[in-house]
Amino acid sequence: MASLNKKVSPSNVNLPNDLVLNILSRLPVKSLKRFSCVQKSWANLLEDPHFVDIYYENLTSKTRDSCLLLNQHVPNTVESYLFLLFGERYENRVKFDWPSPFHEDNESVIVVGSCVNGTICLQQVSMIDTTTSIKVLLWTPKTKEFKVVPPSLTAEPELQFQITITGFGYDHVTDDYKLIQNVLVHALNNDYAEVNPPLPGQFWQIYSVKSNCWRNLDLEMTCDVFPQPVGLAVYLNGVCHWLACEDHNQEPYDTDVLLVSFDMSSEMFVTTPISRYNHHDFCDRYLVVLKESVAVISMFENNNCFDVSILGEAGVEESWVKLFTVGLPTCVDHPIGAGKNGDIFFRKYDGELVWYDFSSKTIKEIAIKGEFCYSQTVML
Amino acid sequence: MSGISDTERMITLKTVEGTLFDVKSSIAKDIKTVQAFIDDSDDDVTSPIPLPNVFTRELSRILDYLNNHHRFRSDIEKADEEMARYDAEFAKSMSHEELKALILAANYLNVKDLLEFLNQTVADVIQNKSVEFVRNFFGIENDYTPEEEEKLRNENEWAFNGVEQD
Repeated sequence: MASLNKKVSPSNVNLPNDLVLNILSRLPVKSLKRFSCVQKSWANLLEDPHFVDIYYENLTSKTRDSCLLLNQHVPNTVESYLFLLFGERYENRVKFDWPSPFHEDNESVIVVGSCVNGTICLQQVSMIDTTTSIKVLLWTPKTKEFKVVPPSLTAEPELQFQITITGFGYDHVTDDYKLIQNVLVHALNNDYAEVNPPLPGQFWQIYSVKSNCWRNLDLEMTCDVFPQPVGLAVYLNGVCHWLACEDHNQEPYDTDVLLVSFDMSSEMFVTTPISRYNHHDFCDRYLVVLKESVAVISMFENNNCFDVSILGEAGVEESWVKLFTVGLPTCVDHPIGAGKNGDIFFRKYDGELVWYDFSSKTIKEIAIKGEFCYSQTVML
Repeated sequence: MSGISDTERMITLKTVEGTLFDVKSSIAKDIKTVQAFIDDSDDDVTSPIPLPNVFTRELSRILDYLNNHHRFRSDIEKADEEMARYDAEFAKSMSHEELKALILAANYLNVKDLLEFLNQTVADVIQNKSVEFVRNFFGIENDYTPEEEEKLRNENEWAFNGVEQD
């Protein structure tokens, strides 16, 4: 504790440096970047490891202490499990029942984005012959209430629709919950194009709970969505964010990754490029929300490490701030979500789930196995 | 409320100006600097504990905050809501200078929750303010040359959108 050696008059007070730094550590990146102009010692605060430590601590929530863990692998069955995890070291777990539409078949169910005011969007995509069938549910785990979202498209014999829900969020202007999805259209028959007008290729649709229907949305978006959904979308303060890639018709490893930020009220979007480090170091990106910030976790396969960057302002590439890089044991495969206090959950190659304890900077086991693609954690 | 208060031991605190405050020992527990003083004393503390860095205005605010928070916590039903309303009023009732003086006192007395709350309050106040406002608020001399500052402002131009009037 800092003690004060001189008497100060309460009418003209200057705060000691440790208190000032504590206050600064609570500011968004945008304010910190602006205040780098205040004085020289504030110019590079986010490069100071000590400051980053307290900054990260304040970024992460101390109050929410439970998270939902999805799709835990059960050997020799197709059934997956839901757990509620809580406690200091996630040692308490309660098996949760799936909402009834998923009682029979809950294979590959995932949560789209993040929890929005206690409600999450569950989706299950399955292929029957050439038709994609998608089941979408809005579910409030606390009350066990759910709502089935009606289908957005009717099947057409010669076309195949590939649907990706990219966001679930709240529109505070109309007090409504909305989903946004991307639809890719493929012709099943090569002759189709010769007899029909050209296909749109892709289009966007939006669903609102109040209207309970889907409508088409005119979005001039040139980038492509990623088909695999876990960890690629989050929701924060009225905006859905998801990762997309610039379509250069290049090798998949060589595409530029973008963050798309879609405002659920105005139904407009901005994109923010995520800068690559170098061409030879391929990395995987995952999105998480840390309190009031969108963060990207980048996993580097070659050097077994990950880093965490937070976005200062959507649409501004230079507002990305890399907070830190952490080395990982080689057995760790990919992140599956964030927990309380900035802990990050990972799946290992053998299926075991672990979490990175930010306060002790160590990897800890939770003794649960996760499915390969579909395991994820969601903060409730 | 409960009858504990009737029998509860009282501690007397003395500010810089010499004002005496009687404080329940359960409240004093949250004032870590005072509690450490009590723990270090062999006998029961009967004479006033001097607080050479704390002024009357600040101590009275701190005790008001602690008393109210103790009261809210005894009624779990409405605790969060009432506490949030009280905290907002508490923060609003002070000028910036008073806020800083209270932070110093809370820091010296080591009242953790209050210090957290006050630091967050300042962060909320300055979040959307200008560079000049922040220099003024913390009493900081600008040590950049005009050219250096201009360059840095240009590099971080996006961060200057939407700044509030001082």
